[in-house]
Amino acid sequence: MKKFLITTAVVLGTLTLSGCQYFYPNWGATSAPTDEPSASSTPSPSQSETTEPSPSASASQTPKAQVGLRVLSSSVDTGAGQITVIAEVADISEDGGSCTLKVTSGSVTKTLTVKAESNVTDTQCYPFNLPLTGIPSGNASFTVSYESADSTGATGANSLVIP
Amino acid sequence: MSKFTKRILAGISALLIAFVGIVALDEETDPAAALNGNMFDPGLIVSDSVFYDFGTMTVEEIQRFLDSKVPVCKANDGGPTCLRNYKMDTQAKAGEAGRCDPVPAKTNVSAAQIIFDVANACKINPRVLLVVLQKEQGLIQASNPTEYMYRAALGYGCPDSKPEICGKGSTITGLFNQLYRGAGQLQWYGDPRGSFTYLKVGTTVSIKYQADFCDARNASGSCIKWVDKCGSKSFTLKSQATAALYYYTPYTPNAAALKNLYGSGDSCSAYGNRNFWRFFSDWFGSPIGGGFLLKSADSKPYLIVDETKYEIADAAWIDDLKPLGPLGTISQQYLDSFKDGGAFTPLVMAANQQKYVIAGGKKYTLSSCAVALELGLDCTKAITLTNSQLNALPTDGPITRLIAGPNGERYFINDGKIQEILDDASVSAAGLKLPAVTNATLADFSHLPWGTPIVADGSLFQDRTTKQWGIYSGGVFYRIDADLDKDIDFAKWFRPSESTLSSNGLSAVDTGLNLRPFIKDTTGAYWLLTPDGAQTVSRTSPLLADVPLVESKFIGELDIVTGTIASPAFVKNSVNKPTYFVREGVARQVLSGTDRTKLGELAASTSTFVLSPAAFAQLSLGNPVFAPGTVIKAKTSGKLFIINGWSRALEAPDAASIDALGVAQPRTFADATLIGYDTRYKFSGLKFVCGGETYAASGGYGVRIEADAVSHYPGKATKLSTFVCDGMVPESDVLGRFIRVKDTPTYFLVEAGKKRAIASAAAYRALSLNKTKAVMVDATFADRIPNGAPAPVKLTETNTGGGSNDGSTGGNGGSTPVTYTVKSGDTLAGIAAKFKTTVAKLMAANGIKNPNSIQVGQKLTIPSA
Repeated sequence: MKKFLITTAVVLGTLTLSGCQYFYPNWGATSAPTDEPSASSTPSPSQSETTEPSPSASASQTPKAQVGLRVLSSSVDTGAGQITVIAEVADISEDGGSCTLKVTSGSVTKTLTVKAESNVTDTQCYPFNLPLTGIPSGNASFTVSYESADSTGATGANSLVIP
Repeated sequence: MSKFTKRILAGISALLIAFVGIVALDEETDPAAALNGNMFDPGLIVSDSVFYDFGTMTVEEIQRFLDSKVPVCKANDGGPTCLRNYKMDTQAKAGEAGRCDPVPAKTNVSAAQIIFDVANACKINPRVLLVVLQKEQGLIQASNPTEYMYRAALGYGCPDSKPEICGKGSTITGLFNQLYRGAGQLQWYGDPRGSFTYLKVGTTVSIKYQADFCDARNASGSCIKWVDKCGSKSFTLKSQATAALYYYTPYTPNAAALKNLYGSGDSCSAYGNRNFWRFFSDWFGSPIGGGFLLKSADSKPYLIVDETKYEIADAAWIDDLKPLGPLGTISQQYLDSFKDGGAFTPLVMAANQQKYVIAGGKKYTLSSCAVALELGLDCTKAITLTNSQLNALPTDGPITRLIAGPNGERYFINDGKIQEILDDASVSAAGLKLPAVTNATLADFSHLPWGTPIVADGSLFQDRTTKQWGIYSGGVFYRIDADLDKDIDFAKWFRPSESTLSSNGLSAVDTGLNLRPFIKDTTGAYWLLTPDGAQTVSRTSPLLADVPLVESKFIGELDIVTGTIASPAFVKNSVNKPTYFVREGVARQVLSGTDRTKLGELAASTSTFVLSPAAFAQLSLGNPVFAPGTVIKAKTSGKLFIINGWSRALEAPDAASIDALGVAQPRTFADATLIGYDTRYKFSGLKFVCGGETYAASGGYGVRIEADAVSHYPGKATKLSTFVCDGMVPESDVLGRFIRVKDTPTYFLVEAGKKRAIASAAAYRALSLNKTKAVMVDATFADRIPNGAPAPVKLTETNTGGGSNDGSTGGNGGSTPVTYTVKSGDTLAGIAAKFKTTVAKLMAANGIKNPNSIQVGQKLTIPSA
């Protein structure tokens, strides 16, 4: 069985998504997936997106509104060689923001940032299609975060099994 | 209602929406008679062909729909008016690929126009927009809408749970913006350039019954734990349009919501998509098939009323019901889920029993079932339509039995048939009292057959379709031939009408007869129509082989012209010179005065009838005619022909044979004048048959040959026509087998086709036994008989065979008397002299009492000399 499906505890809709990468491979991605160093790794400039903003840098700015995120579905498709995650930002409908998926398995963390667009009452992240290349098998976890000019938010940790 | 109260109610409404996700129920629908929740398919709430069909309604139809949903607008509290009356200025939109086309700015635009414009710009069915306006804020049925209902008309950017943020920091509030943005979003779902690509048609999807609850938040207040308390439903997604509904409202109704389709379910019920399906079905018919008219790939079309289907047998009724939506094709399984209600007829009724007749996309009020019967409809078969269905069909006054055409034509519906009315005089003659004219058109009744038109008998009028005039008499429309119309003014005898009838209006009567000058009636009498009336045409020898047949009643309407036209007759066209001899339906040109004179002896009248071109055109023209008995010499070939009757020309071997026969001398004509005569037969020059007797042509006389001697004379006997025979001068002698050549002493025995010289007179007497007389013949005659061996002393009987060349062998034993047909100019004395008999004998033989009273054509028996 090539496809291995994992449904998260908070999924809103369990959706069959196999093969979607053939048609819309990370249409809304803002950049290629990046690797994040483990604690023992040497930081590199390309992984700067994981750097937490310094408190002093935003001290003079208006705090962003906190928003909730929902993971609608997540799955690992070994046939397609990718992790697919569908997520949305609850209770805010806006354009211009971005969503970031962070998957951690063992000592490897990978991130993928995609665009987000408004829906009727929510904001929809473009589907995440993260290649499995370089992600070790085993129990993994992921989070989705959202950033826009006025809003920010993130999910809690979700579990995932990499076969 | 004060603004404050209104705001309070708006807030309560918003809370209600937040809780159950629906707005006010369709108050006009009777839950007991409406849809069944079992028919809801979560994977196919609406088909793509319906959802994206942006051309289903005109602005007028949208306006009429809005009017029907709020018959009385009660928005008199200073707040916004009802949607049916709502107008606003709209700003220009630049359009966006994948969503909507650009639209220009407009001022004071009605809601109906906005809905129409947005539907067309964003390519979304306006019916979908109407239903979404209802399911989101209840605007369609709001008789006193709030400002918020317009502000959040499609719920776009206005979360049910946080109505207070609606429109903050954006410009997407208000009816137009909401429609343009919301419709654009519905169009955008599924676009591969966007994020809404994860609900894929043909795959199994799982849609929640209700929104999750946030069970835990982080320090910043973001929800980090959602709890699903109601579960979800998995099903196959069958249309992109259904996916769009779930992107827009991400919940599907649970069993409780579907069980109580027109009310509330339980705490896990969400109603948005259920209500979309329900409102669409109630208002516009099946959101899957496209409307109230459905069929499967192999079935007849059906009208759907709630859970019942009615078969539509007549394809024209599909057009009549067009406002109920297009004819959609659905699966046989889905079609079978409807109860069978029998056959649809265009007589329907409302729940209050008011009956209507549907025609041409409209409904007409029916005053009584008696009228329905005349229209071919049965009140007992009336189908009760829903209010939404009836509202979709505009009312256009009462239906009556009288229909008006665009140019004053009138049609009366009687006993299920259409009767076209000629004029008021015809209405009076029929004793009809006409009702008021209905607004329905003739096309609306195209399914009815045509009946007999209402026309006063004896009317003269035009078929406006063919432009041909005609006379209506005795239930028949006699079309007047165009040429005849020029010659005769029928208004002398028939009532002219300025009104006309269509060919359709005349289709139920006999109209196949084209009236022409020569006609015959049902009694068998022949007539010639003249400007003065009808003149009798003798039928003993008809002028025409085939003429139109009219009812004798028609002749009775005309003046009768005295005198009879009999045939054979001479006629001529009033506009041409040649004279024609008409006999047995064929007119043949007479080429010379000689023929005219001779033919005159055979004509019923020597006069020439001058015919109108129309009458003349009715004659069948044949080849030129010569008087029978005439001898013709063909100018080029030099051949001689005896005109033997009306159609044969016998070729004569030489001039001598003509002399021997004693007929007229040849007249020379061009060879072509004989075209039409059969020239295959030839005259042998010796024997011929007249009146059953075989004769020999000799010296200008016809000498009868005894029957048992006929076969001994050479050659075949040519049968001559009566006309030729009448010109022959019979010799009183009868030819046996002995002849004597004039001015010579020699006797001959004719035997086996040869003449055998007899040695002497004594030998002749011995051979003839003094019984058979030797007839004196001329040398020419004798020369036509080849010489044989000298005659024997004693006669031996032989049988040489032979006979006529046309089946007549001639002779009956010599007992048949000679007959003669009296010709013009004959006298009894002259005839007696010709046959060498006496007047007394002729009178005795023919029973003639007055010797001065013999008739042309009379047959006389010539007694033996």
